[in-house]
Amino acid sequence: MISYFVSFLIMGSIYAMAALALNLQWGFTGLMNFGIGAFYMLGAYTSAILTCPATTEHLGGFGLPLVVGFAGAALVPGVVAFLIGFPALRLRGGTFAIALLAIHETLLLTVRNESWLTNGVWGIRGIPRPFFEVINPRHYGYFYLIIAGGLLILAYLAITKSVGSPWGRILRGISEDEDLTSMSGKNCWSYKMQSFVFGSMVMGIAGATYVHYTGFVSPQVFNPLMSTFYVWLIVMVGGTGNNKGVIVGAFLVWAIWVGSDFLTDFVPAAVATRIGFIRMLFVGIILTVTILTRPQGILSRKRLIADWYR
Amino acid sequence: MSLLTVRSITAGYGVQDVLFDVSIEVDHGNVIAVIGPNGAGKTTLLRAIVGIIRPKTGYILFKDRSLVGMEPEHVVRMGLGWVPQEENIFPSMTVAENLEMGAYILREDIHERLDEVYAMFPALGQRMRQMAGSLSGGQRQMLAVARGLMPRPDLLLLDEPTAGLAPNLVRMMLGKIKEVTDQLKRAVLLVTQTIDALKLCQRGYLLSAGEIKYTDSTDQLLGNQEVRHLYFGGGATSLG
Amino acid sequence: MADLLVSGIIYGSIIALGAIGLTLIASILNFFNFAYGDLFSLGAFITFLFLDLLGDWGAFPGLSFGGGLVVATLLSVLIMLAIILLIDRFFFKPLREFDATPLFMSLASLGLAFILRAIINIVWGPEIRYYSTAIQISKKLPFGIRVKPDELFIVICTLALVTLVYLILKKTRMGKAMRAMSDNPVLAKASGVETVRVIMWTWIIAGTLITVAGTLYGIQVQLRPTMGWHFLIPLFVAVIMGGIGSFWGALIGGMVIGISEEMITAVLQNAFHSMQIDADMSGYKPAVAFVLVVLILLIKPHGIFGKKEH
Repeated sequence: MISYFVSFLIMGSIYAMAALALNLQWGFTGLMNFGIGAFYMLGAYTSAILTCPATTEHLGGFGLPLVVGFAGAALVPGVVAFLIGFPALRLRGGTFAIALLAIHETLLLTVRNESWLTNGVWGIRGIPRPFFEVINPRHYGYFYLIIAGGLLILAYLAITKSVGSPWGRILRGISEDEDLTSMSGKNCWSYKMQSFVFGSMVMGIAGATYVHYTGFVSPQVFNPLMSTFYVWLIVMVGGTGNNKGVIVGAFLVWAIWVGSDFLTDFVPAAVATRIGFIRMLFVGIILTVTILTRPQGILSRKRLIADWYR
Repeated sequence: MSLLTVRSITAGYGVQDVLFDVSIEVDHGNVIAVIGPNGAGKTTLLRAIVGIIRPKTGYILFKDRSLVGMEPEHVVRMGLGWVPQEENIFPSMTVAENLEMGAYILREDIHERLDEVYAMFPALGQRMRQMAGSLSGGQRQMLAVARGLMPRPDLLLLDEPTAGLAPNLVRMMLGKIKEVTDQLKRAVLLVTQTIDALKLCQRGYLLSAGEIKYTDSTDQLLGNQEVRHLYFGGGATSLG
Repeated sequence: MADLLVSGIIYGSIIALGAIGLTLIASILNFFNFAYGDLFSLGAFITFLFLDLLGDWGAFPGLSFGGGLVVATLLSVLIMLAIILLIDRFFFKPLREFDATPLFMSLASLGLAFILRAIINIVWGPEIRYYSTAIQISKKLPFGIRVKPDELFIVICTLALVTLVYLILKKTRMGKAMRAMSDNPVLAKASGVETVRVIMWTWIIAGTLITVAGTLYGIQVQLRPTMGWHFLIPLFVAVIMGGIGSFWGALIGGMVIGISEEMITAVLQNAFHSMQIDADMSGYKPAVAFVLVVLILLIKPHGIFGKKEH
């Protein structure tokens, strides 16, 4: 039971990291990133390929230290975000979201089709877990929780500090009124790019944290439901623009998700095969009810963005 | 009883108020001007009357009915037309379709009215199948006014109908407005910065920084040196 | 090559049908409806449901289906319109009433998309379904073009519906009101256009088109619960390429996407083949739409027929 709880906390931390990154992009900058999964996936695969022992199944076998893996998991999504940002950040609002969704689908296709690089749909196995050999497997969860929790705290501090700085105030200005902000002489495009790249790097690190915990990665993990929609749900529940709320939201939503797994025991066997979709329905209903009843998020008492603006 | 009574309204956008305690009145068949510098709130006043923004305080009566909280689509059915200064046409519809949209609230045959409008603005008649977005600035403004006239509203709100037009077009446009008010006996509330337009009106309100500073007959306003000096550049005929 | 052109035209006409509805929603309701793809699937599956209920009515000469499918489609359209109008009443209307931004509406529609997909999966399961398993014999036309009777039917049906929608938009009072609303909403309202009725008719037209499009796609290929989600990107690309709110833009955009998705991957495949490179390009069809939209947005940000910023 304890180990179940530890694994819950680890997964919650990973989602919280991704949600904080989305909060930076959407909550503070107004970038509607519908391609979160793409950056999460890039981080996961980069670190897996860099750190895996020699294999013939896919590119890699570099066997590099995990620190290099994590660095790569931040760097590659960052560079990709930078390259995508050139065309995509010219787009506003909904068109940006569509472009990012298309990028996500394209990258997912690449991962599925290019077996030489990623071993296709079979995925990458045997991804090293840090200090797995030296720690008693019964306590390994605690150790990994320190890593995941530590990274979450780092991400929280970095994002909170930056959005509280003058830089963050300009981001909020952009999300409130881009034209007005650019009239005051700020290069909006450059600020949006910085926020987009920064957020994408954090998403990449969340992806790496995930693969080094599970030791396995395949394209199925990055379907739009679990990688993109789920993170949006967390930010909506936690409260757009509210970093603490988003962290609480991540654990709350993950608890609901894990809890809904118990449904499997109570439904007829014929339906049990479709339980994943019942959970998907459940989560979709939570999102829409949240949107309709508490558009500022369940956990937020006030409109934070509006307060900043006054 | 006045046709339109605006009493002590305060209105604006979000937390930002633009109009403070504004009151005006328009009687049947009158042509009334609202003058004032840029940013005084003239456009906001018209938007509040037609129901695009909702005043926070005060009331607006038209034909003895309150307009506050009424949607623009219902306001227009009461006989109140509006021609905004900008974005006053449907650019990807033809000239004829724009005029049809002007008469949207009418269920009867509008061919006669179309013919009258084409007679009044021959330039539009020649371009009835052309996309409105491809018209020149002057033709656009004519179309906008013509669209507003289509349902023959009892009161027409005109927001700077001569802004940005060449002097000869300004004269033409003002001539048309005079024609309409004289022939059809419709009331007009005319927002303007042009002295020639003010001369068409019986009375004028001077709106500045969101408040009504003066109201007087046109002659008195024109005679007022301060008004002439401040708002019409010391006797120049036009600032338009 | 001629065969690819034919299949591109067929695929393109289905995209065009959907894109016309989507562009109307985007310009009149002023948001990008991410649930539209899943409405496409739902329409196809509800047709399947009625086809099943109606039993075997025999097939039209040469076609794979008969009167049963026609009746099933008509019933499906009615049910779909009821569903869509209920969704608008209980979901989108409350959002409009508290002045939700277009981005917020788009996000809400993404939640709806997942709910719809979950329902389709729960009701029909993930299996592939067919309207008919009859084998079609291609007809030979001049210039070495081969076409199946079903495919001819799809193109004729599309042409008829597109013409009907064009006439509605061009000739009827409601059609003109819809165009006015899309062109200049403030002036349209001040001209007396009844917003509520325009929105209702927009849903009715878009709902009919998407249900028929889904059914036609089901005739041509097969039914999968995810078919609509994968259709969403080509649909959006057609809308953006054509310019939001442009009828002709959506029609031509849809055709361009359909033809290029079919032809570009095949051309690349042949090129790789002749260079002795072993690469499977067929998996990359969706990427073509993405590359096209990026190119279009870079060259003409408001689309080929675009008129306004969104």
